[in-house]
Amino acid sequence: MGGPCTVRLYAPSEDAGQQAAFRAEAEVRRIEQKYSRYRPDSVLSVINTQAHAGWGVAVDDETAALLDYAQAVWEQSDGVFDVTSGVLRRAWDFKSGHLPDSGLLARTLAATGWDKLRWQRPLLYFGLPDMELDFGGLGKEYAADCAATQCRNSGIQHGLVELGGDIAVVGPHPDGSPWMIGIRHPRQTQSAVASIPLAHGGIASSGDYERYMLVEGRRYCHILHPQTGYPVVSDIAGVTVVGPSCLIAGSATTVAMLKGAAAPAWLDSLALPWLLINAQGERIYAD
Amino acid sequence: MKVKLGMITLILPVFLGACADMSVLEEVPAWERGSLARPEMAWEPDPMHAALRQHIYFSKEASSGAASAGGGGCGCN
Amino acid sequence: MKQTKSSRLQALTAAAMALPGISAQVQADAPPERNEIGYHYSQYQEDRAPESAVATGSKSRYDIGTHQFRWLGPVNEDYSLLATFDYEGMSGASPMGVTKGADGKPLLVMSGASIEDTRMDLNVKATRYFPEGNASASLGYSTEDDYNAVNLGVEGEKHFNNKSTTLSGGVGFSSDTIEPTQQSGTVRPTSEDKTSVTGFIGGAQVINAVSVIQTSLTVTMHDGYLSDPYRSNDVRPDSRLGFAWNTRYRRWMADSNAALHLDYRLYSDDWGILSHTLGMEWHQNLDDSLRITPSLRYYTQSQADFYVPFDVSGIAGEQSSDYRLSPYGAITLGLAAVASGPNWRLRVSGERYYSDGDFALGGVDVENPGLINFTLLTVGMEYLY
Repeated sequence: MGGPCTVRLYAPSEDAGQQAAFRAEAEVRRIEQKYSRYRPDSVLSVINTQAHAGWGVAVDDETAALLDYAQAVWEQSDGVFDVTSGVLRRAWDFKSGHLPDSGLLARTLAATGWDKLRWQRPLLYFGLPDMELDFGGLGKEYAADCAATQCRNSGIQHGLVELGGDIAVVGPHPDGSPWMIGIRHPRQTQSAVASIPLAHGGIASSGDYERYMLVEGRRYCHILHPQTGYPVVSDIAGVTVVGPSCLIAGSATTVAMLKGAAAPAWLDSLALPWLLINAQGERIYAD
Repeated sequence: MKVKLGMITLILPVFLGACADMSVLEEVPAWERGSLARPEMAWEPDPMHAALRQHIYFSKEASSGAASAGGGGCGCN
Repeated sequence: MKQTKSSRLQALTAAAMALPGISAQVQADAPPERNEIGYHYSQYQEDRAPESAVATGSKSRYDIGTHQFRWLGPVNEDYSLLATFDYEGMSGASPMGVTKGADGKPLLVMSGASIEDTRMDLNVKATRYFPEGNASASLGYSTEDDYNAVNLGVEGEKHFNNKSTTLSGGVGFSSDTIEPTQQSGTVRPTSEDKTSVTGFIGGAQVINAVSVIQTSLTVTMHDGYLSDPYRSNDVRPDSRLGFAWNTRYRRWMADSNAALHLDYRLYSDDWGILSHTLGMEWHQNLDDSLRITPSLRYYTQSQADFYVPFDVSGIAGEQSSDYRLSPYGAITLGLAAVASGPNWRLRVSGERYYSDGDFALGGVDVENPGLINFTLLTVGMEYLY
């Protein structure tokens, strides 16, 4: 699920540490399998193949809570965060170096939009047969939070879980001091542009460096706007948000990438600490 | 019974200060409760000693009453 | 991080908190994962009564050595069991009354010989855990040379709002029998009973990420023989109704790596006793395995309606010159240290208790000469397996 999983823990014994790490890893695997796009038996695949038929699909409590969360972010982001926008990838091939076919993009765009599905717990119904859900913007961050939970449930008080660059804190160092989280430079990925102290909650980063293609000198990143079907053209190269959980931090970075020039104002309205790095490598931040 | 309520005000301000925190009582997310789970934040971090102290003060002073239902008396009062 | 929470963030937080993998961080009530066994030894020593305060009898007050044993462990996924056993050996003399000295000042009449007694107290408590709370039942037996008591209780807790709020309540019952040691030259009852019923309700609230508060109301009714058979002129009412209001506050001080405890109790009963108890503890972590805790406790009580500073013999009606029913105040200073490892804890603590008429709120006209000062020293260890 998008990069390595690292667990750093202070444990009373090696056994206790191993056990906690094992539970954390198992939890990440569980969530990855449950919401994998690539496994035909995953909960997500079942939804995507069956939610347009009949009354839709009845989902389990965890999936329902994720859908509720997705709806909350959709509402709070004025519709730019949309778990139905994954279908746009059918039109985009980031390895090709070519922009999508406009007819195909228009068809996938027509099947995009949270407002085109009906979500009445526990029933999820797709108004259009081409619609599909993608928890790519949620799953990894949620898994990091859940892995941290498993560590805590194993009696660990101090540690962190890092999943593909996003971090959920189990608890600060034993002396109460925060973890120092290095933030990568979006262009020179080996160097850090900032170091952020984090004692609780989570931190997540997003940027145009993760997956992108260059077409005629222009950079197209993989974070696609659900209303235009295109990435947002903006000066933002990378964004980092510190949140009460990794999940919230992660959704906030995705929204910020899609808000473009409006990102600072929207991040301010969340009242969470954030850091933007523009294409020139300059830092804009609020804490 | 005679309850001298007038004296309560002498002590209350201490706790009103503490209660000022509660002006906005939002539910604290689970992941922010790590500090509250620390052993030294327990109501009684040392239950054995707390029981002994409660027994001593119960025997040597006129007052009693804690938020528990168990425990017996002794021939000391 | 900014203190003001935006409505946007609140909406996201509320939705995120409903996620099971995250909200599971608020753990359902469950038995402890490991067994815990503990042993404490405490030496309680009262200062000798000053020469000038004693008219006759021994000046030595109580010395008590207490062995405490405690075992707590899971029975299965839903139940835990707690057992405690105390063994106390006590010796010393106790005041039999208060008489007026030649200068009009009160003097203690102490028992002549040292009293030796042992007390054993066994309590067993079973707790059943539910996803949103727990319920427990307890049974206890206490015995001394001249005293037996049986008690039982049931109590429970129910959590609300992801454990942000907890309501608790319980009732307890105790039946006590005293069979005073007889002594020639004194008239003492041979066997007397009392029963006590206690009920409490309480609530606890998570205030924010660093503080919690709990408040409770306890009502206790005693019925039966409530006098002190070893005092010469001690006649007390045969019932007592008391109320205690307890409030406890805990705050984590991240900057200091310490926890602050504030406890307050207001007690009032129909004997006319009104008391305030204020406790403060500062649990300071020195490193990951060592914590020291200075503590301060203040106590003040008013006198019982029938309290007399001097015994009056040959009159009918209620009277007692027991210092415990006199007006006074007390201060306790304490220092405790606990060192802990992955499966053990070692504790040492010392407390010093001073009581004095001058410590009482509002002052005292005639201070009871029986007021005590004591020292309590404890060493203890707990082992988890």
